[in-house]
Amino acid sequence: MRAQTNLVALVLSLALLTGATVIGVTFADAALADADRDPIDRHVVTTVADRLVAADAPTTVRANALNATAVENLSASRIEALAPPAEDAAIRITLDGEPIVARGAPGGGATIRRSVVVVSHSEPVHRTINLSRDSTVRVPRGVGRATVAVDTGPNTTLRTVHASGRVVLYDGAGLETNTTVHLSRYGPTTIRVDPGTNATGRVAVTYRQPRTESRTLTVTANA
Amino acid sequence: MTARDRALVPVVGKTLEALIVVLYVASLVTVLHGGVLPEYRTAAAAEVSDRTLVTAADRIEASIPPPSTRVDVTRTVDLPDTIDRATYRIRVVNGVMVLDHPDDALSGRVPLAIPDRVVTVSGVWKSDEPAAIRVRGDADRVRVMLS
Repeated sequence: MRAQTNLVALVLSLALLTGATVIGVTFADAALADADRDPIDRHVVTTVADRLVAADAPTTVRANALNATAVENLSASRIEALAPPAEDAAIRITLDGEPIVARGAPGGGATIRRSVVVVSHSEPVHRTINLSRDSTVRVPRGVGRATVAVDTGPNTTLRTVHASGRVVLYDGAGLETNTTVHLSRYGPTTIRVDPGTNATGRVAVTYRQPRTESRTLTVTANA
Repeated sequence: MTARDRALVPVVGKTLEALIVVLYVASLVTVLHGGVLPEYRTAAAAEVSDRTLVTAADRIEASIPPPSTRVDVTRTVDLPDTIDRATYRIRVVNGVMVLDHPDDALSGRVPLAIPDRVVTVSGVWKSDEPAAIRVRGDADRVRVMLS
């Protein structure tokens, strides 16, 4: 039996080797399980968020600026039309925690956050230039367009309307119109007319003052 | 015990040892190659396939610029040469990106989120050839070609 002590040592070493293999496979298993992310979920949330804030999306007024009215009218089917990857996915979209769209329970899915501004428009503001008294009206910054209605009295010819020195309306035969003009959003605008002396009538300027609020858009989805 | 028998003892012992080692190695190889390795290979390949598909879709979506009068964009895309040691193809059918792999379990599809301006997405990527995206068009119509 003395010769078989070698055998005992061999069996022992093989058992140790088996143990090492099992431990190795367990670690490999854990590593594989750790690496098992769901790229499809990530794709769904990034495309939904990207398409929602894109400059050419129906929900925005410009890139990263959401239109408050369009956001209120959002629904799961509109999200699908905007971003087809969201089809059949459980999805939740919130603005500062306030839910906008919710379908299913996307717990455990991917989440993405975007910093956006929400633009809402005030009720129309009416300002009037009484041609017999004054000749300018000031529009605050942020207003991109205004409606100018020219209604001159008898014996008055108004040919030009200026916005911050730029000619926005001109008619050599005299203006009598109701038109939308585009203004610069980046600063206050002065709308000026040149009625001449003894003029009568009025120019009405109507605009909507935009209000912007900074919010966090959160999209969670589980495909 | 004769002297001859006693001389046999180490021979038998060594043979036994060699036999045990050979059996052990054989069983280990069978277990690893028969079960563990193929399983890992499939799991890793499925993961690579998913990621390849999503990365390619992301690249196409990101390569479409905002509306402008003239669009002319060319981008290269890095795709893995093989998934599970087999080449594959990527194409777009009706706005859905499809990865064709010889193994059905590793094929996949993902819808693309692209604006309505994009009228067609044509062409095919073969994994063993360099892949590029070409976007051409104007403000109203944009075409995307995979080549």
